[in-house]
Amino acid sequence: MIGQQLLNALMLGSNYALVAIGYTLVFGILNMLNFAHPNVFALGGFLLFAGVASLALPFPLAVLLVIVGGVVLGLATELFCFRPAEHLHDELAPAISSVAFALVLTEVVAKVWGSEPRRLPPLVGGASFDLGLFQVSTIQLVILILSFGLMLAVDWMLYRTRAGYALRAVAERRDVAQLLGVNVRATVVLAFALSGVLAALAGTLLAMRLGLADPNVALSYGLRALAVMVIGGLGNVRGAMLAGLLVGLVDVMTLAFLSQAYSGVAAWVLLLLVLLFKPSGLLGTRLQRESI
Amino acid sequence: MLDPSVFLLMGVNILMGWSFYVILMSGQFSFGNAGFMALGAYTAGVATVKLGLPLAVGLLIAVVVGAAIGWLVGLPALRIRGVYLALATIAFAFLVENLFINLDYTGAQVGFYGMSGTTLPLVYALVVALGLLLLRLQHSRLARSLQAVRENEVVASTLGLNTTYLKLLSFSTGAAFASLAGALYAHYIYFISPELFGFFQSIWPAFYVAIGGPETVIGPILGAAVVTLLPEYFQPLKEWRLLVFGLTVMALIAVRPQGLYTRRMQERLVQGVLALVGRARRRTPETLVSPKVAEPPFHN
Repeated sequence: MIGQQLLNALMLGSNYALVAIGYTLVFGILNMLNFAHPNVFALGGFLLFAGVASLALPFPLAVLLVIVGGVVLGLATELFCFRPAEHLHDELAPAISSVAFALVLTEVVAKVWGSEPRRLPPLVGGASFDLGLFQVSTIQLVILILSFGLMLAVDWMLYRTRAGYALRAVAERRDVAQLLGVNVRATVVLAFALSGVLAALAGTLLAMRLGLADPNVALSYGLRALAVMVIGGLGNVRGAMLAGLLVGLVDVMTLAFLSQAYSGVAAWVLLLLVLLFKPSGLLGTRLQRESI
Repeated sequence: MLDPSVFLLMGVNILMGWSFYVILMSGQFSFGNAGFMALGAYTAGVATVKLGLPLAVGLLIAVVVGAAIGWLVGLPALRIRGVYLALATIAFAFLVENLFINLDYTGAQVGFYGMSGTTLPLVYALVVALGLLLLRLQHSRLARSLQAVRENEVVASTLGLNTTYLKLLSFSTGAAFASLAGALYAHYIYFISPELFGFFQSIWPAFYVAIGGPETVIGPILGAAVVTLLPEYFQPLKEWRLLVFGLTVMALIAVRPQGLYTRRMQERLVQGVLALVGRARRRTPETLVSPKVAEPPFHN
């Protein structure tokens, strides 16, 4: 039983982590919150639904559709919400514009797929493996491998590639990075594209786990990932991974041993505790400068 | 012709907009004002329905409770700022929502009903009174001190300002505004339930301020008017209206990220009116308009 719960925690936690990395990429670079992110996350599930159910594509092609959708939505967020207010150095206007974009995305989902969750067709064969402590089905295995593969890929990209160096340099000191020849504009755009892809893929993975594409995950899981971002340390990708797993564990345990009434609150209580006792987050070393 | 109830809601929304604006005056973001709104709605509701007190007393209790809890929440929250505080307030709003979902005394998830008595004149009397108060304070020593805290807290504290007190004051005043708005709202719609005070209820005040303009008292009024009335005028669009509304807001912010009504416009307007009245020579404009605060020479 406990083994099964740990497996659930691992899957939920890696999902939180992926969404939180997307938040943190944008926040690390612009110091701004992107409230359209949770809706791109929810839309990821529906793009998978469109791919495998409506268009009857094979699974890999459907994932490709999700990736393309994520890139497009990430770029659209940057272009329509964040770029127009760039010259003002004001944090409120872009944040609110991204909320408006979130509203638009919610409406689009409701128009195209309705406001009720849509059931996905079975994706992978139903064989399950007994590993002593717990049973794991093929689809759960696929989800776990994809989630952790994605996290490792992001980590590798950030710490081992030129684009990753550029991202971290711009996050550290934008002006100095520019002086050193980093193309800041391209880096910002890259951060949004990457964040969009991660959100959409996380939404796809969640939809695969739940077996349905649900528009309500934006306000539940999607917002909780915001708490995960801070718990891990703002702008810290490895912290977001660790915090995601931690919050996933706490979430699953509250659901299993306390009551359903408190399951959604665990992440927020954890956030307040972290802010009270270690405001820089679990792996954060410095406090973000005073901006949103 | 629009329904009068829309204007009542607009008044409540103006108060919510000011609750965000007042907290922003000290440079802090609160995305949890629905939490204070819920507290105001429920405490005033309990006061009038369960205890049988008159509405005026209920409103007063809501204001006091809102300010007190704002103060208490603000105390630990002052260790943190910027996005940390914004997220802490989101967490606070979620906790309050969860509290009322689980609190059987006020009907838990089902909701709490029986509140009545909010009228259009009552709402606008309060809006006008509080608006005049805020306008009166706009060029006061207090407002200037808050502005100093917002521009640069370190500099403000070296100038001898008690930044902790100023931030707490603005936070708890904002909380009181939201609480009052919640109490008025509850006594208008008769029936309240926890999901009325969800995340979006916290975000709307930020909409009003961002759209109307964060620099002036008038800005949030304009923003609340736009956000409340636009969906009404979009009625003919039927089920497309929220989509069009979202796109309109995005377009508005893209075209005027500084808000519809800025301090510059206000200064020009004041000068224009004064010139028109012919008093420009007797009172120098400098004493009436606020000077632009110079950019601090360094960023930390």
